[in-house]
Order: sequence, then structure tokens, then C-alpha cells
Amino acid sequence: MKALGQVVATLSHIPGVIAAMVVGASDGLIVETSALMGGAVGAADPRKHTAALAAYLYSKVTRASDAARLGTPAFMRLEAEKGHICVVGARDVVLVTIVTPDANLGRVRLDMMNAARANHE
Amino acid sequence: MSDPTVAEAWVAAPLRRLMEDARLISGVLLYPTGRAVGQFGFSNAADVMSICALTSAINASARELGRQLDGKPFYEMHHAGADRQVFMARAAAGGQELLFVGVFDRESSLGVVEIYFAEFQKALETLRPEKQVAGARPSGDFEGELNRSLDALFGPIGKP
Amino acid sequence: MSVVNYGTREITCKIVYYGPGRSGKTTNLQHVYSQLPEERKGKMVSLATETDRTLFFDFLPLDLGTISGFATRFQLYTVPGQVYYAATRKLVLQGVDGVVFVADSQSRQLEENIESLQDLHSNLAEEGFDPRTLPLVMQYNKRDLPAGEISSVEELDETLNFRGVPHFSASAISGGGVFETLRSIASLVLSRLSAPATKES
Repeated sequence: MKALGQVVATLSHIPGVIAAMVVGASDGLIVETSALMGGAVGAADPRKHTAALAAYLYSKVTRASDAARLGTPAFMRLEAEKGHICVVGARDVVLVTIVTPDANLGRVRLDMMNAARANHE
Repeated sequence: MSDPTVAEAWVAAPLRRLMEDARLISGVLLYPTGRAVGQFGFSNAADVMSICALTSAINASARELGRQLDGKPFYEMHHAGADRQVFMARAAAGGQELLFVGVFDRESSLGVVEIYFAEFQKALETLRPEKQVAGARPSGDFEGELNRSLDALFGPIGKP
Repeated sequence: MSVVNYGTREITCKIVYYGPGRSGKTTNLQHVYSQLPEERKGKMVSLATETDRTLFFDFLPLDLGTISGFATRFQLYTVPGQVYYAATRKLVLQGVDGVVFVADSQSRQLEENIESLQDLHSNLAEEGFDPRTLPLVMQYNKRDLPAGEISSVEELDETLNFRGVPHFSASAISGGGVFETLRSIASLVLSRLSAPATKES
């Protein structure tokens, strides 16, 4: 896999990405993260919580997908009122991005899956 | 999942929330001396006492180890077993130090446990442990019942 | 400190077996563990070194049943006797309700007994206990050894038992005196709870 720092740097430069993280799939702990873009001064940093819960959610989605005999989930997107959380599995880690509502989600998806694919090779 | 059983009522609500949010299998909140404050996931009081004794010892060892290796006590400890994992960390309520030890499996993760434990710590900080009543004592035929219990367990004096 | 919990109607007491290295503290607990019915005891936890000396402590939870409507439980601990485990001994003494001092009756161990007793008093004082009032029972262990190798009970009492607390001759390896000692300290600790005296905290 490309250096994890390079992965988060690539993902964090996609327009609309607020934060990009590489997170341990089993423990939900942040392995590598970009800076938080556009966060309000003094506001609580959401990255640690998002990383842990997104990795947890992805593990549940994987089990649901498996139960439905659909195989490994390729891409998970959680749409919320003020943006999206995108997750892609990449072996022992998951890639997590926090994205604004107006971001180019197709580009986010493509770049995240490319990064994950690079990890498999 | 069974409800927490608590020796001190003030801790019931935050302990229940931690148990549910972090999806812990079992856990014990205790004073560093090894006295249990509340627990969930155990049905045998003797097991809880053993966990408390060991947690108290681990805390003392880890604190000293942290001091010698890092110049200050370790903040938390985590051990990943084959199926289950143990998380141990300190908290405080009303200036009184407390220890928590919890067990989780693949239904949770260290990251999830950490974030909900942080919320648990914040919740405890606003609470106050109950004061033990000085001089409080059981009443009734205490001496008589005590002697009967001791006879039953250890045999009458002079007849081992 | 002993905990009387009126909400859950539980009493929990901590008893520590103290004494010099190899005096028989662990053997006391092992005998208790081997003799008690399953439903009255928990697992015995021993943190020992490769040479089988107690490294941290031995621990045995014990259920005394219901007394005056209170579920009464004892936590029996030993401390490591070797001098270099001083910090551990202090830790184990935290919150103690009663102490059994296990003395080694061998004449050549008299000095070690005295040192250990002094160590107990100084550690209790450091933990905020009054060594003169804390429930204490003396056990003179290894009475099964040949008479020429051991001090007399009178000599041990004269040297170690200046408080005049209950004392018991024991041979922990065969179980002699083990339950009498435990019963005595249990009775002292629980009687103190029922007495209207102010409690140390």
C-alpha cells in the first residue's frame, strides 16, 4: 500500500472532503489522519468518534452483506443532514472520509476505492 | 444483557449507559483498594472480588511501570485476547479515584470503548460517591448469628 | 475498611495474612481453600514466582453466609514475605480490617519474625491505621517441627505478642490451627463491626 500518509493526503485534497482517515478495522483507532478542514475554532474534534463508530458500523455492514450472501461491501456511504461519511474496507484498515453535502461523491468514491485497491496489490 | 448491580446507587445510571453504549460483556467499577462499587456481567460475588483484587494489583503495577518507563502513570491499559479483550482505565468522582475494568468482544472495539468510556468519565465527574456512615452497624442478634455462621464454616472452637 | 452496605445488605471484610517469607501464609490459604465447600468459596488466585514464592499476593474470597440479614463476605489476602516486596505489602494492606500475623516458630527465624512485625506496624501506620487497635491474631506456625528447632509458645508470645492478642499454635501444612486462627480473626473483625465504637476510615 502507498504510505498511509500519502493516502490521506490524496483523499483530503478531493473538494468537499473535511477529513480523511485510515482507521484500524478491528480496533477503530485512527492510524493516520488529515487535518480537519473548516472546523469551527473551539468546536469538538469529531475525528476520533467518527473513526471508531464508522469502523464499527462498517464491521456490522460487512456482516449484513455476508448474511445476505452479497460478499464484501465495496463502499459504504452514510448520508446525513449536513454531509456524508464514506467508508471503504482495505484489508486490516478502513478508509473513512467526512464529506460536505455538495461534494462530488462520485470522485470521492472512485478515489477511495482506488486507494483501497492499491492496498490489496 | 443483565442490569448492573451496584453497591453505591449513584453509579448505576452511568454504568448502565457505558455497558449499553460500548457493548461491553462485563465490567467492574471499583476503588483502587479493591472495593467494588458496581458491576455487570457477573453472577458470582466471589468472581467480582477476584476481579477487584487483580485489577487493584494491575493498577498498582501498571502505575509503577508507567512511572519508571514514562515518568508518569499509564492512563489506560488494553489487552487483546484471542476472542475477548480487556480494557482498564481510571476515572474520578468527587475527588475520589476509581478504576474500571471491562471486557468486550467483536461486538465492540477498543475505539468504541474508549469514546464511551470518555463520556462515562465525564458523567462520573459530576457525581459524588456516597459517604459511608461511621459507626453504622448491623443490629439484632449479631453475635449469636455470627457465632453460628462461624461454627458452621470453621467448626466450633476447640473442635477443628 | 470493612463495608456495610445497607442498600444491598452486604458486609465485606478484608483480612491480610502477614509474616516473614516462608512462614506459611500461602499454606494457610491453601488449606482453607481445600477444606471449604464449593459454594462458600471463590477461586483462589495466586500470583507466584517461578520458585513458587508469592510475588504479589494470594487471594481467596470467602462467603460467610447471612448474619443479621447481611450477606457477609471475607477477602483473604497474603502478602509476599520477602523484604524486597515492601511496596506490595503496603498496597495489600490498604483497606485492611484485620491481620493474621503468621510467625515461623523456628528458633533461627525469630529475628525475621520481629522484623516482619515491625514492618507490619510501620506499614499500618503509613496507611493510616492504628496498629494498637486493628484486630490482630498471632499464629505460631510450624509447631510440627522437632522441639529442638522451634521456640516455645511462651517465648514467641513474650517476644511478639506484646498486645496480648489471641494466639494459636498451628501446623498449616497439615491444617492444624488454620481454622481456629481464621475463626478468631473473623470473630474479632465482625464483633468490632457490631460494636458501637467509631470506625476508622
